[in-house]
Amino acid sequence: MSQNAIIPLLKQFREKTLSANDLHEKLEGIVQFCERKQNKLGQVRILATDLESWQTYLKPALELSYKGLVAAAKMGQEYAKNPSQEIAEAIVYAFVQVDKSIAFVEKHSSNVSSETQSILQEEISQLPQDASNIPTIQQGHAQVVASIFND
Amino acid sequence: MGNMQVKSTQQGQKLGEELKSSGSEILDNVRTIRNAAAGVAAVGATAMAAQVLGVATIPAAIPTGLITLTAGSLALTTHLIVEIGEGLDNLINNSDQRKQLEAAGQ
Repeated sequence: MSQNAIIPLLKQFREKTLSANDLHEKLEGIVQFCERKQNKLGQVRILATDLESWQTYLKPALELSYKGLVAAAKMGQEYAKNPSQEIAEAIVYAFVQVDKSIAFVEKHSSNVSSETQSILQEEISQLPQDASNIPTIQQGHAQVVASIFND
Repeated sequence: MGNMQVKSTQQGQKLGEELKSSGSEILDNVRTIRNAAAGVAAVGATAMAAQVLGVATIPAAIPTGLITLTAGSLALTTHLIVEIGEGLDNLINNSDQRKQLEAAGQ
């Protein structure tokens, strides 16, 4: 078991305990994971009374959160090729968008039912983990991302 | 840094100072340093990423040197981040406008 998420991977790379190629490969796994999670948002069942808030604000904000993680991971792949200060700042800026999206969801979650709030809380609590602490299982050469959402 | 100089909000500067002075312990519980004022939330993963990457000041915009790129994967990813920021700004603006309309209608 190892910890493979965007920020720990970047840390390992900076500490020279992870090669550029390995960083790129592991971040690609995270990109695919987050894209799957983003797509699954369309399958979430929401109470009719919350549908407008969900469709108008909550789902788009959660999608942007996952897109932000995808962007951070992709920018991390660029950092593997060229670890410049400029790209480092771009990665941080991508995380600004992720956190801003989460704050937006939290702000709007008070207007929906407790059932929807539970769904939102689950998503919100897991998003930072996608950035900082996705557990992965090493299976030979392949990396299997162990979903914390029962993916 | 010339034109690569990034602007920062007061919130970002404050966080940067905290990062410099407080070490990593505070970052272990990043939600406690949430600062969502003035549009830029310097919280959670942002603080952790900044600390890991040695970025002392949270950028309020994507570096201009990247924005000017027109081709390649770096340009595509840069524009993806810009699009996400714009999408979020639109969401926030729409929400604010709706609240104003609702308040005006009451």
